[in-house]
Amino acid sequence: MVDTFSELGYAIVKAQGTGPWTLREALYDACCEKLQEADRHIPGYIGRRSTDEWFDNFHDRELRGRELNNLRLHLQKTIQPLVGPVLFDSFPAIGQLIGPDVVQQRGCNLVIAQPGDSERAPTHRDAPLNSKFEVICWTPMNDAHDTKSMRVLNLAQTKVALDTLRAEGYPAYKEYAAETGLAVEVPFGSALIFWAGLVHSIPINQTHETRWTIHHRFKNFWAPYGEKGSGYFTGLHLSPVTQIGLGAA
Amino acid sequence: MKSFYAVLDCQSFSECPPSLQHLAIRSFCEQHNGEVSFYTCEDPLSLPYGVLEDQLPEIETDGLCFFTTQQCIQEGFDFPFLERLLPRWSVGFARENVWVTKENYKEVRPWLWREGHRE
Repeated sequence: MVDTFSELGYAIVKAQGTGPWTLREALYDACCEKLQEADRHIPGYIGRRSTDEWFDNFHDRELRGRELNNLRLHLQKTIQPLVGPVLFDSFPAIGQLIGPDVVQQRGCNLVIAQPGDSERAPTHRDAPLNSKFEVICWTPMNDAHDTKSMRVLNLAQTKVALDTLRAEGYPAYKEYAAETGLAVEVPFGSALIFWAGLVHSIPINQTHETRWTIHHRFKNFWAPYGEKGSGYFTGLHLSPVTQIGLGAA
Repeated sequence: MKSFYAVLDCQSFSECPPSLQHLAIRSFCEQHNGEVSFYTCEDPLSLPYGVLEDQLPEIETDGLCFFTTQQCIQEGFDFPFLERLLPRWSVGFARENVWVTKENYKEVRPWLWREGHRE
């Protein structure tokens, strides 16, 4: 994993333990509870189903705009305390990459990308506005594939993309990323861990399934924090020596 | 309720991080009877408007809300850029507490010029 990450800037890793299942159940329960409360407002709501089908077919509820975003924010807030600890434990690769003194982003990001939804983040990289010493754990709650995923450029391709952005401007950069980026296939139970400086783009989901992904950022406590500053992060894990050192007079 | 598209200022993140810019923009949009439905931010290499220009054809909100007028200053305030936006959107600047529309543009224009020549 470390060799792959060092060469490409990303790696797809399988979870150890049942962390992704824990997160998915928490999401599912919170979502069912919220939707049942508002059941009368949501045509087509049919109650509890098996979770795979439920996540894939979420768009059957025809939630859009403000209604969908309010639900998403509610779910984000509900699962937020779980996300960092569960992902850090499930993917030891994170600790291998950034070391034992770890901070995580304060909130968490949940994306619900329904088929055909054109509202999506533009082609971008997270760093340098975020820290260059940061990784993103991109964790699907159902299988991510084809346009129900995202396109990521590796380290070498990112360099070409940024040269293109400098020389030719944003449209050429976006086109390069769309043509060159790999549509990552990440099955549920795995995660894509990628360096914050990698260029990535999000296509319109042209499958017939809704994509659910949790995005969470981790970095070393001691490494520079980027333009967003240290307030974006909160502590997650400190090594014994760091704990002693910070507590010493 | 109107919907607005927020445009964060990546050049002032060290002084005013994204969370504070979001708060300021959201509050300002609420004062103008709207809410933020989406947001974007430039890459340092796409400044001044590379990402935003690319997004414009897909933006279906009632207005755009920048964090600050400084995002629209090149050699002075970039009036041609603003004038390309105004036929379609109203344009807010949260930090300076000003909202520009087709109707009030003539009145606000001198003040924007002044923003582009602060020193």
